[in-house]
Amino acid sequence: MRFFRIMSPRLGDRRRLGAMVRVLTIAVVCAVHGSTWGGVSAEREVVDATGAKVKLSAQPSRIVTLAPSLGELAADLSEDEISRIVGVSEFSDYPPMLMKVPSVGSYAKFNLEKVFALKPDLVLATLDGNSKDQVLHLRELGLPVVVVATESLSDVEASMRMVGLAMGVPQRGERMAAQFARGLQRIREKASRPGVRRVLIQVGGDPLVVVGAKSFLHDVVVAIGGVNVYADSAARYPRPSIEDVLRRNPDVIVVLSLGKDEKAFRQMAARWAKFPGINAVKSGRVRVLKGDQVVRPTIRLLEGLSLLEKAVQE
Amino acid sequence: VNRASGVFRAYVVGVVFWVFAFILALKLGAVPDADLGVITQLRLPRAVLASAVGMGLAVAGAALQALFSNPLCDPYTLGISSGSAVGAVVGATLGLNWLFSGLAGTAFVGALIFTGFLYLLAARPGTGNLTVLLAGVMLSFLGSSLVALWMSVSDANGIQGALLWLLGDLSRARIEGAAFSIGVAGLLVSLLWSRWREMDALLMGEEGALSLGIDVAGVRRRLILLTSLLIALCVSAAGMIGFVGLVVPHFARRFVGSLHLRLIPLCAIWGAAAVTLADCLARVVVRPYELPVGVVTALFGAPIFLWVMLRTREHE
Repeated sequence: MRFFRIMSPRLGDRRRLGAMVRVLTIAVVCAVHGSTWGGVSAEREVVDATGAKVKLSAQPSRIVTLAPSLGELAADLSEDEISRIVGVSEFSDYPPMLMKVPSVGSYAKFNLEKVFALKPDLVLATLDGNSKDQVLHLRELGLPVVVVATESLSDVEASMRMVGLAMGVPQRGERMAAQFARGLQRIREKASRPGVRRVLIQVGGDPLVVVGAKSFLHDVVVAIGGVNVYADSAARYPRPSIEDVLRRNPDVIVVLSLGKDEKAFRQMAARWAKFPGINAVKSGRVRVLKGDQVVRPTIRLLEGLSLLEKAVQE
Repeated sequence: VNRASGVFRAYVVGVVFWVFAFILALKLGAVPDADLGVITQLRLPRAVLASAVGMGLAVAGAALQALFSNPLCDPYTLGISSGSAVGAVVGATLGLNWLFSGLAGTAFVGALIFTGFLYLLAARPGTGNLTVLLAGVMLSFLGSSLVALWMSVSDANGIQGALLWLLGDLSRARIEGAAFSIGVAGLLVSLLWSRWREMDALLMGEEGALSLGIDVAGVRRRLILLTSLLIALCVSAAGMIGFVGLVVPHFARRFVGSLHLRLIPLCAIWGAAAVTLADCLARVVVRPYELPVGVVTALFGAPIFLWVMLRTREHE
């Protein structure tokens, strides 16, 4: 009732003055707070790959990345301000400067407490590897988590834009995505020649793990002009029997070597020699490809694509 | 008088041990000097959930050992936990592990299905305890082969998390889920405790209890229902944490005897203390990684138990 009286024309002058003073006070308090909470007023919203609207400050300065590829992406996009990255997942070794950044554990099960204690103003996560529940948990704790998808090459391109946007450097993200798209275009043009090869990409030996249709590596095979022999598999990384591989009879087998120890992957490749019926074995096209460039969905994937193209087409 | 003071001492030691473990759990973690946020939002829910789960597992173990007059029974003997393992693995790969505040929903559903089967079997007229026990063991095998079957036909992505979780993982604890768990576990434990006379009667075996005029079938149904719900809650909250349900009751019996009026609350306190301490160790021994808490309970618990058992034997 009092409120309406303040608004009413019958109000006495003294009262009106009182009301004005009150309004002014509120305005001044707001202005003072506005200047001290500069970060809040500059807050913005980013919609990530899970469809979540994430509130972020203009220039996040305490970034935690939950996968080696995201560490790489964030480091590239932060250019010379790599100190913005305050936490990375295990095996984040490129660029080498990231090896000095505190680790929050493996991407598959990172240490919640470490991430939380770093007080990040941006956490970068991926749909391909991070646990859904752990990401949810971080969000429940009030941390801004931006999740990217990398199921296809266009996802990878979009993830560059999204990370740039999240970090407050949209132009850099845009530039990187454009560079990626150009590189991809050139590789696709080069690859469009006759004589399609049927390719098996192997990522694990015991048990056999290969690349199915839902991984960006499937897109990679298509981009270099090959045919993934497990394109019909619904799983990201199916585990077929050797007999099934014999039946599908790939022209090329590429064993992707992950991590430092290449010997184990050489042994995996050597095992195929027992099956001379496979085209790839017959023509000597069982190859070991070393490189994080191939398996990390970052700008270095372009190098990886050239390497893989050579491995498949030569 | 001597006996009573022994019982009193066992309780005091238990409470002190629990408080100590709880404080330690709040104090230690992956980061050395944690602020209030880390302590209240991450460590406190974990310590509360660990207490709930430890309490539940130890009491469920004691009740099942009484029910089947078998010292080898533990919360996993009846296969309820395999039911939740199936639920958890299926849920993880299909992406439908809907959660209530860190509790695995599909795991709980899996456990309820197995519980339902056991309950119906136990309610059938003329079914003996041994039949129920054997059916439980079979369910447990069925569950683990279903898990293996599912793992070999589905995508590997997501399964790793489910497998780690199966070995015991309290890292998903949220404060609401932890509060809910300790409330429900407390309620179920109290309900089981109120059945202490029936459990005491069962110590004389099925025949003995029958001749005391106990409705063995009814008692069995009720105990199976209560313990299964308790186990389903614990496993959905924290995966499978071995050792506690088997050994804490045996340990407690050495101090307060086999009568359940005294045994059940002591199991609750000691179980809570044991899992809280074990989870604290699991978080700090290989920082920044965490061990599955089930690994810690068995790794540290088994030798301690053996040592205590052999020592008391020598004294006798």
